[in-house]
Parts: sequence; structure tokens; C-alpha cells
Amino acid sequence: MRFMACSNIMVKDEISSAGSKMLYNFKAPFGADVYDRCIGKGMEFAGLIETDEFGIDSLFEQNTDAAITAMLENRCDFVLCNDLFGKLQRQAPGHGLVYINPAYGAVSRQGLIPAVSSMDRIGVLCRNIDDGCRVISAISDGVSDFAKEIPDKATEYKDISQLKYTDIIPYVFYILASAEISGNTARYDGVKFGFRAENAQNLNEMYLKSRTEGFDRDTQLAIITGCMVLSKDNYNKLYHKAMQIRRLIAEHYTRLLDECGFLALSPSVTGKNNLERSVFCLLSSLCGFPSISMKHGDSERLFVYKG
Amino acid sequence: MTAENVKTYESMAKFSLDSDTRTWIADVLSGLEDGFGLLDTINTCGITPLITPLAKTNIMREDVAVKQITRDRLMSTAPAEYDGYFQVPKTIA
Repeated sequence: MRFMACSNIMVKDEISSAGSKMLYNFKAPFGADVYDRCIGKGMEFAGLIETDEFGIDSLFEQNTDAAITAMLENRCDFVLCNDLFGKLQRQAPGHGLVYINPAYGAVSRQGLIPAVSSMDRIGVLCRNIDDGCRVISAISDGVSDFAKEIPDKATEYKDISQLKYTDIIPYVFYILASAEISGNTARYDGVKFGFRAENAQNLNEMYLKSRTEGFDRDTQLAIITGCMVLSKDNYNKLYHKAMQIRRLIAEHYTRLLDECGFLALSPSVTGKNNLERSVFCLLSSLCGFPSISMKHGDSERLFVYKG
Repeated sequence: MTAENVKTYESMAKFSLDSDTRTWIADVLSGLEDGFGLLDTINTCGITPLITPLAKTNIMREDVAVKQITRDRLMSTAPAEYDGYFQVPKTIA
């Protein structure tokens, strides 16, 4: 199988920029665990794909992801990605593709350039479930059984009407994600690697110019939001509270999954912004549930499992 | 959220934004305020925060030293280097 990887997954001695000017010349000193495992299984590497900067989806723009384009252009059989914001899960079924997200922690993150450490996980964009299962088995320690539990296309789903917290999930996600993004991007200061702005007169000016010129607008928004939610005035009101609500969400949906086995949700719903549109994908990110986004019969489905 | 508020967080984030970007961020954050306000509608009294979805279990392994990356290899990605050290502009004006 030929595979590509988003550029936030490190490949030894390749420029692994994570889609960021900040890492425009960063040659990875070692390869990600998932890359080494794929190569070890005899798969053929077909190159890196420029991802959204650090995998951060724009809140408003709805451009087709480069990984989807690579699959549609038949440049590979699958792509390894970190679909934090649910962009690939939202878009994949509409293009006849499948996105499989393993449970949080089931696949090693070693060599993944971090964005949101408590939600980062490497998933697979592929053409069908069989390919996806094969890849997940190759990059994990054989925990892909959930992907074989796709229900029959004729299955009639029970409307459980217990999907609580759906209005709040996008905002809990963004508060927590932006806080972690602001922490994880603090390392990009123009000193140790990557981009450094020119003509700085002193150290502080170098930090300011490098970070201002090095990050794009959506990342700057996430970092500023992170600083806001972690600031003294907002920490308890927003960040701490969001972590508490994250527990309520996780407990509620774990109970639901115990009763139902899996949930058949929609990968894309109507909303004011991409966070709201991805609400159920973000549920999977927040709680670490494994999920599969695919066309199933006439519908686009996001199957969520307990893992 | 005003551009002036954004300026406060900007200094924490070590940015020096132009006024257009600052205004755009202020507008976006103002638009998210209603969503953030929804948090107030949930009673979280006594709830332990969920920091990570993983159960906290520590897996121990044998502590073995392995040489993976040399100092020269690491320094090769530095924007500026002098005699094996990171070189930066002066710190005192």
C-alpha cells in the first residue's frame, strides 16, 4: 500500500513543517512511530502533505483538506493524519472516503508534532473500511476490532433523544484545545529551530517578530484564546469549568455507549462555524472515543464506539 | 471583547499584531462569547476536572540509555549557532 502523511507527522530527514512557516525548514531528527511501523510492514511512502497549520481548522472557511485532495488524485492508498477539529471526518464521506479515528492512546503519538496533547491522535483517511482496519492494525498493537462492527446498511436506528450537551461541546472543545495549543506553541520562539525573523534588535523583539510572522491567523486566534482562557480572570470561569464539563460529557456518553454499543451520528451538521458543524467529531476528540466517518447507504455517518 | 483586550493577551502570547488582525480576533472572540457563556448553565459543583481521556496508569520499563540524536544533529536545525550554543540577539539593550 502507498501512503502519505500530513506534515505534522515527522519523517526522518524530511521537512516536517506541520503546515507552518514557523517550521518551514525543520528537518525531523527521527521518524514518527506510525511512519516506522508502516515502513516496517512493507508499505511505500509517497510523501508528506501540507496540513492546516498544526492541524488547526479555520473556524469559518470550508476549503477542501489537502489530504482529501491527495486521495482523490490517487496519489496514495491512505493518509495518516491528526484530525483534531473534525475537518477530515466532516469532509471524507462526501468524497466517498472513510476516516478512522482510533481510541485516544491506542496509536503512539511519538513523532507527531503536538497541538492539543489531551486529544491528539493519529487516524487514517482511506478508501474503505478494510484498508483502514489493515492500517490501524499496522500502526497500533492490534486494537482495531471496533472498525469491524459497522452495522448493516439496512439497520434502523433508534432515536434515543439523549444526546445531551450538543450545544456546549464545540465551546468546551475550543476552550480546552486553544489552551493546549497556546502551551504547545510556546516552544516556537525562533531560538532552537525553525523560523527566526530578521533584524530584531534584542531578544524580546526577536520573540515578538518571529512569532507574529511565523504563525498564521487561525493559529494566532487559537493562541490568543488560549491565553485568555488561562488568564487569572478566566481560569476558573472558563478553563477549569470546561474540564469539569468535559468529565460530565464523557460520563454521559460512556453510559450511553454502554447501553447502545455504538452511536450513529452525523459527521456534519448545520452551525454558525466549523466547531458547531463538527460537534459530534469534537465529542469523539474530547472523550477519546474511536470513531469512523463514512458514507453508509444514502447517509453520511459518524459511528462512535466506546473503544 | 475589544481590540484593547486582545492587546493584553497578545503580550502574554508574545505577539505584536497589526490592528487589522487584532480587530479580527476581537470580533471572532466576541462572536464566541455566547457559546462560552453556555458553560454557566451547567452545574459543575464538586465535579473533578477531566484532564485527559486516558486512565492514569504508569507503565514502567527498564531504564536503558540509548544514543538517538547527537548534539550536532540537534544544533543543525537552529536558526543561528555559535560554537555549539544557540545564538540570539543581545538580551540587554
